Amino acid sequence: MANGNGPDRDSKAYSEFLSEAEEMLERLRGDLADLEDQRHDGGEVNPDLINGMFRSAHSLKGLSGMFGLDAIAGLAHHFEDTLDGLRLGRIALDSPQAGMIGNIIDLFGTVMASLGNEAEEDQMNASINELIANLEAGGTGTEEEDSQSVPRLLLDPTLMRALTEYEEHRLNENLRRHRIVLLVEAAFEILSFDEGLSELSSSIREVGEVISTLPSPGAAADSQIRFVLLVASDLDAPAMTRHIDSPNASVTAVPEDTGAASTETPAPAEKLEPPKAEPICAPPVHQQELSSLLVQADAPAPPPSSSVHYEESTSSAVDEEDAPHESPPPPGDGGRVPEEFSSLKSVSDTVRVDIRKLNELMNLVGELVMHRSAIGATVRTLSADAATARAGEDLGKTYKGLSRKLKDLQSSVLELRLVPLRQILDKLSRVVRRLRRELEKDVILELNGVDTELDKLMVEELVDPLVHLVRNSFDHGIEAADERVAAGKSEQGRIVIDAFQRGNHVVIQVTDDGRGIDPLAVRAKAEKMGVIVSGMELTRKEILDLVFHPGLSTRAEVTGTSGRGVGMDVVRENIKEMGGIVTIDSDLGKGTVTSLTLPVTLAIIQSLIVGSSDQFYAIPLNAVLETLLIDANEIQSSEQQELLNLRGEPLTLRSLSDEFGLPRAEDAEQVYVVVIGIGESRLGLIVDRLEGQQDTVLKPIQGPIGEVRGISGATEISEHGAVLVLDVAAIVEDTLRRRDLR
Amino acid sequence: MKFLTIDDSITVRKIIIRTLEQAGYEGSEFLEAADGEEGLERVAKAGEVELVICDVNMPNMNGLDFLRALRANSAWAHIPVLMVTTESSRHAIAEAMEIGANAYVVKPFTPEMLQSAIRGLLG
Repeated sequence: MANGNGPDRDSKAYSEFLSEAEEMLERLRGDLADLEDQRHDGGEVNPDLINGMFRSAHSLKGLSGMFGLDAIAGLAHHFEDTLDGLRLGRIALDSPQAGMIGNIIDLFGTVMASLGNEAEEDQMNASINELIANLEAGGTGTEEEDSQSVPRLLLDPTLMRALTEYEEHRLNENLRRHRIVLLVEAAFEILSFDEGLSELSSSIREVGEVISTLPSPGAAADSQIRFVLLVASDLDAPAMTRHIDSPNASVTAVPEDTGAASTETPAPAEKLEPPKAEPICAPPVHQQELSSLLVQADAPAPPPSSSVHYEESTSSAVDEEDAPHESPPPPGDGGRVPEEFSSLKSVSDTVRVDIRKLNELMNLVGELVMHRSAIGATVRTLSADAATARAGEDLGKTYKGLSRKLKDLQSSVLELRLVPLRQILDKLSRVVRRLRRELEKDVILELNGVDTELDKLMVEELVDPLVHLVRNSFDHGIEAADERVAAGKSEQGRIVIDAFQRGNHVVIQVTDDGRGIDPLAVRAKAEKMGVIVSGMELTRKEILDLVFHPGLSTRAEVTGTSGRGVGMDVVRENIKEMGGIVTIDSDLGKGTVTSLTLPVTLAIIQSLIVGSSDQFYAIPLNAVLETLLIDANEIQSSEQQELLNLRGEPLTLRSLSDEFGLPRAEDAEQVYVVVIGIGESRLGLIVDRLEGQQDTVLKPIQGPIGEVRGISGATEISEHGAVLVLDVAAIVEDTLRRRDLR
Repeated sequence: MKFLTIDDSITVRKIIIRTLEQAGYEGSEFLEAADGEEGLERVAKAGEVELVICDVNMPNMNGLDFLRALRANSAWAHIPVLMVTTESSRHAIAEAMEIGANAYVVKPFTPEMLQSAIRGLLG
């Protein structure tokens, strides 16, 4: 299928393409599920959804073309055409072509998976051609724009020309639905326009559709940028003005062309006409139904759980602000309003901060903590000497106060990075809804603890592992209905996700009431695959733990639902990278529970990676003053201690190998010295190699090793695996104390 | 040199950046944006950008509207823009050139095509 053009299939770009295409397919599957949901609920389908799918198909086409994957590009091309027809209203949602969208997406999935296997690729080409032929048999849709019923608008011709075909279609579609067309003009400071513009857009989307966002031709100060938004809504201009409630936005209604004015000359005067407040079209129909819609939208949400429901209270609070309202904001996008409603409040009292700035802040706090350690050392020195004991005691009190406040500061800064798990858990309920349809299994998902907070970076990394676990439960765990009934269970399967905090960790448990895992079957398979020796003595827990072994799954066949290639081993790997652990427990016939335990935050520190003997260590960079390469004979030994004359000052040296009982590199002519410092104290660490700087995530050491003096934790580095992080404060303190004792 | 690449596909952005590096601009700063709005934000915050390479069909704000906004602001009106479009949206090329694009390439493009378009713009 590849014609050899475009980037090489072994290239980095190609693997990036594969993962992006996989993401797009995933998004398309989700969009399709939403689309079907909206159709089932009746009413208007959100046009953004179809437009989004169109864009995904468009991108897939462009990308596969660039990699010379002509057959895929051909399929994407037809897919794009179908979606283009749908979004432009040329193809009806209930047409046979629209019905094939699911098949197309499935075929994409299969084709992508077969890439690289030439025999399969040929077979795929045949399937693609067959599907394309079916699509073509359906024709390209009919032009059914009914221009008669659409009122004509007196819209600025420049603006009209700037609209894309799709935007024009959306304009007509809204007119057909008797919505009011408005122009919202706003000026923003250039440096912060993105925040202002997205706030304005999402505010408008609560009560209508943003058809197009265009740069405004109106003159603006150089430090400002102006936009005009073409909007369709059931609100008239004054009501929209009240809803937006922003001093730098102005709303005008686009007047209808009544035919009284000459249409050939769109005179500028008409454009400047004072906006008419009264709606041009029939008033919105379902105004009074807003409250019932709010309740309705609540109903299909996941099963009753204290934490999952849209916040009606927030919505009604927004409503009140709108008073006195002759027209309360009706739904803009086919009844999908309530979800977006709740965002208004949170936007106003939230500040968006670049995560890098938060990291900077974290680093500063980290440095403060190091300085505190230095003060602690001084306190001990002072207290040890009778002459200064009094001063030591006073400083000790101050030190304690400082420690307390520093701890508060540290946790406050950490909290800034935390976000509730709600966003990904909501995504899981979507996955379940889709699986329910695809597999025709009746399963409910219950979510508990959606407000549990976790580091933002981790929340994003958690999506894949959690989706995988939920799919596993759905696909392999929960039995078919008849099997369940035979086993004395209710027909409806149940997956429960509980999230809660335990100490410094967050635990997420995925529990299902399915068939459970058979330890004997796992054991047999592991023996067959040579993972364990036949007859080896293992506890039940140890046997269950084998499911995390690469390639070991208790069901032989791979279904599309649980995905290929990504097994429990990958889940464990992903969680390990975040500094967490995965455990599994199962009761045969009753169900399985998988627990993810994660640190609350990923605090990132810059480290210098050094090597001594065959070990690697990370030294927090904020404690490193400089690194030197010196001749071994420059080291002066006296009374069991080694010194270096560094620019006239003696520097105490300590070998990292000695510190941790490793063999010292023999007869090296030159050695590296890393000068580390805490407060006023300096120490030179002799190391064998410098490996470079790296962003490292500090993780506490768990298990039998426990706390080791001189080690503050461990970190994972791609090339070296687990690496110990030096506790610089402790090493400096110990070395200097040893020197003082002599 | 500071380049801005706007495309909703991260793969395309990486390909463009790699092509630029291979064309001898490897020491440059490469800014990226996933849609027109983000593109404008990057331009606003970067101060000066030597070249913008911009896709047409994108969410939020499409490439043509990005171009309009860029040309409407006196501080940015001079920044050269290379539009990237697909065979099926060829009609957008004429429109882009009318709004003030400086050059265009059609996807799927080869590294050579992109390089020669960029050389044409930057001399």
